[in-house]
Amino acid sequence: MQGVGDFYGGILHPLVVPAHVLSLVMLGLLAGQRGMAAVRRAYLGFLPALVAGLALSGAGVAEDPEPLLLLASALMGLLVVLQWRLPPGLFLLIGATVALLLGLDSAPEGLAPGPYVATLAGTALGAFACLLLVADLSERASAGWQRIGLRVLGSWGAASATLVYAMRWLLP
Amino acid sequence: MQVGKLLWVAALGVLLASNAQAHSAADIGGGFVSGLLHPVLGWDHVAAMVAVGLWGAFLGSPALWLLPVVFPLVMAVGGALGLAGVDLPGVEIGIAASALVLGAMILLAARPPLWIAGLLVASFAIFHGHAHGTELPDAASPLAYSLGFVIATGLLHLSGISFGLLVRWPLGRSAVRAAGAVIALAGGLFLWQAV
Repeated sequence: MQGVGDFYGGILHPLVVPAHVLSLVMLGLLAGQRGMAAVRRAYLGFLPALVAGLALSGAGVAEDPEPLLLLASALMGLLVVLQWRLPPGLFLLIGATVALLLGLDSAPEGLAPGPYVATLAGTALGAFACLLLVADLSERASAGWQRIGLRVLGSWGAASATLVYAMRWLLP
Repeated sequence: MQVGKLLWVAALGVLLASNAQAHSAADIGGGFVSGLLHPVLGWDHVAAMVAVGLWGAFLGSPALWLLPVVFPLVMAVGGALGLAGVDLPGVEIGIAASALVLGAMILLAARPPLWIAGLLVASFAIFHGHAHGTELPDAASPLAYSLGFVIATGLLHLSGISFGLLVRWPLGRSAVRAAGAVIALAGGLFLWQAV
């Protein structure tokens, strides 16, 4: 990210990459919709997996994790629409999966070790802050119309992610 | 700092950012705006989207929110069919017919069971999705484009719902049915052009 420095560029990175911000919003909606117990478990799974994913991002472990991130977003959006009462323990796994894929897809390019680490630290902070805000707002949504609003947002996310996943899958 | 203020700061940061590491902000912004404008610039799409919201409001809860939730999900399936190269006969006719039929439903104050209303809206969503899906690969940022047009579609539904809530009053009910007549008439015109 030019003009804002490595660390701040890292913070903004998950917010300007559509697949990343979509997966964070869908995870936040899904966990927030299920309640605080699910939100806490999602955080617990998310943070260590994000650090691991970011640490491994430069090692070329995954060639292109973005389609998997899109698939995860589509599934999470669909679960938000259906408002399924998933067991809170499952959010540990869901949070970890999204974080790992997001981390692996966030490798900075052509940076010296210092700025590289600063960018990754910023990305971790930006991604977690985004999840924190969406999950917190969703968890507070208790009125009937607010719960419906969450399901509408879930349908928008699921539709967008499905379309682009289909495109990535069907077109060479 | 309040959560709302934090969100505004984050949004401002996104707007002020120049370009991302491996992703061009110009492509993402351009793709999003292009997707946002696409359904709004086609009158046949606008008429049908507003009709979905109007009819949902006319039918009341849960159709009020269920129809606008079903529509984008099934539209994505239609889009995937378009991307897969599945030739859907009469896409333009289907889109025009959606405005005609949904407008007529509002005009006639039709109250079918929820599953029939859902099925009708879903079947029309396939045509709308197919039309959008075939244009997706040309977008600068396909995900930003699809997010833009799904959000625009949802906002058109919302405008229909907002107007449709007038059905609570007798005069408003007449106004909503009149809007249905206008949409049906426009749909008839689109159909005549498409055939």
